[in-house]
Amino acid sequence: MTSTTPSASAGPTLEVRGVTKRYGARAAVDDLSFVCRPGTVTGFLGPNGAGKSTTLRILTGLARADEGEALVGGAPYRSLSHPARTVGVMLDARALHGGRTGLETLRLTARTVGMPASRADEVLEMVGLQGAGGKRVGGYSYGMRQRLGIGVALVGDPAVLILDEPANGLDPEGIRWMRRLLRSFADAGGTVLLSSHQLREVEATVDRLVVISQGRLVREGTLEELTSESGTRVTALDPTALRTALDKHGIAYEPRSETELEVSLVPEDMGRLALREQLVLTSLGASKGNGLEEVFFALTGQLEAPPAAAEAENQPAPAPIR
Amino acid sequence: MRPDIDLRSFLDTRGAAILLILSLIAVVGFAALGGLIQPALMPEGTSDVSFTVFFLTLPLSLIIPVITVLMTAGEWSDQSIQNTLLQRPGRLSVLTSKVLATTVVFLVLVAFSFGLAAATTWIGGELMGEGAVFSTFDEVLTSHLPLLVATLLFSLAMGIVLQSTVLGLVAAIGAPFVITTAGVIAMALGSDLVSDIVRALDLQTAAMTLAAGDGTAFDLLPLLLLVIVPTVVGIRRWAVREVG
Repeated sequence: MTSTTPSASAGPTLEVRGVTKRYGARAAVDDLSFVCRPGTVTGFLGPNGAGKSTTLRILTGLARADEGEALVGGAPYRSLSHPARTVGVMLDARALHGGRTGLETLRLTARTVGMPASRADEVLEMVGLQGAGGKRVGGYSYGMRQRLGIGVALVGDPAVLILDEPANGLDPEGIRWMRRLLRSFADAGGTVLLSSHQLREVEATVDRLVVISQGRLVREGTLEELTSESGTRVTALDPTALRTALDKHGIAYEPRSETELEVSLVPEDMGRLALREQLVLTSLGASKGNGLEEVFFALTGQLEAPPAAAEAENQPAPAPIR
Repeated sequence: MRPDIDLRSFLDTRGAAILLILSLIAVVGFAALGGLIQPALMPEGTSDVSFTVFFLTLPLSLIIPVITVLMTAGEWSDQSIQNTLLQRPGRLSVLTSKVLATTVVFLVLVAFSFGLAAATTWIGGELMGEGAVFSTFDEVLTSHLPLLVATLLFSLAMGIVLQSTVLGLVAAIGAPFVITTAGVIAMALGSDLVSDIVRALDLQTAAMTLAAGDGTAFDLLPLLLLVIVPTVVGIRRWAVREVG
């Protein structure tokens, strides 16, 4: 009998407070704040280069924030007395030593974090690698490495899981396995934060979402809140002036047709913006609830359709909408 | 600090197993070469322990840097430092632990090598030659051992400061070779200035001079330039370097 549930009845809260991280003049993370509570699976979304991995590295003590703080149960990761017994982390499956066997990797982890050696066999079975425990990690496929990486995160029987792109390389069965694992972990009171590009997978797994773009928070809420909320479909007499006004205020939008835009504002705010910018609107209305994919593209200013890609590149970072 | 974990994490990889097997073959081979063949080459037909250990310092001068750099910098190169620091976030504690583990490996390796040298010297001298000479053992302690300790210290400094297996190995193995060659050239040129510069960088010669009790303040300069300064810079870099 194996256990995937956290040992504590309620895991610690993950808290990112006003974190800013700059590399030269560029802010990889810009005054980012969000909270992940016990019993939830939080999806951490954003386009490439949005600052997700940097935030996760700051949260796990692998990088330092220039401003703000990232806390696990109220304390920085580095100050936890037994971090791997509190937080299971899988940031990069390539960080596993290729010259060690899967079982030895888990046994070494168990010894490091103060768990019995039998925990390694238990976790190996839990992640579905019992047939490959004696094989060197260098010979593993990427999906097998992902499973082993998740196994390493689970060895310490933590109450929090932080996973960066855990579904990468997993086959459909593996993705289903991971979904069940995270769900049961959270249902038992654990706290889960996972970043992913696989929006449909995220939609099927998470309760809450934190969406960032260019290092800034653009939206935080439950999956229902985000997907049921409508954006606004708008057309204007002068579409170019409309786009210019949206760009000027950093409002994310996505073209729906040659003249119609879907804007990440409620109709009321869109009307106010039009008034301020003296735009003549020819139609204005709330759009119906969208899937996560549409919400993601709308919030981050990323365009799904290739023909519109050039326009997307010119969009500034969207303003936070709370 | 968990030097036991660092020892195990080094020893349980395939690369380390291959390295240790090759090292064992080299040490046994050179010990045999020094201890057993010596009587046939020496006019007195004896086997001298100091000479056997001298033979052994040749492979050890390569084995020690390789093991030391792999143990201190290897995880940065293969990225597994990420998991290490996630499980043990106290970075200076991890570094200290790695240095301790490396020192333990060094001591075991040197003790094994010296023991083997003594055994092959005895076998070569007493059973195959005209006698074994152990009276020169202080020479081993004042000449060969300091050379090996200097090799360890310099390799540790390079592993700590460069945090890269390739760069660490090139520096730890290449620099002593370059300095020795520069010393020969400086002598040939007869320039005092160049000789002093080379002397200020010749850690191995300085170590032997200090161990023999003939050292001056100048002989501490190589220790400062090649060990202490890089180690201090490396500790600082180790503490702040971002992972991932």
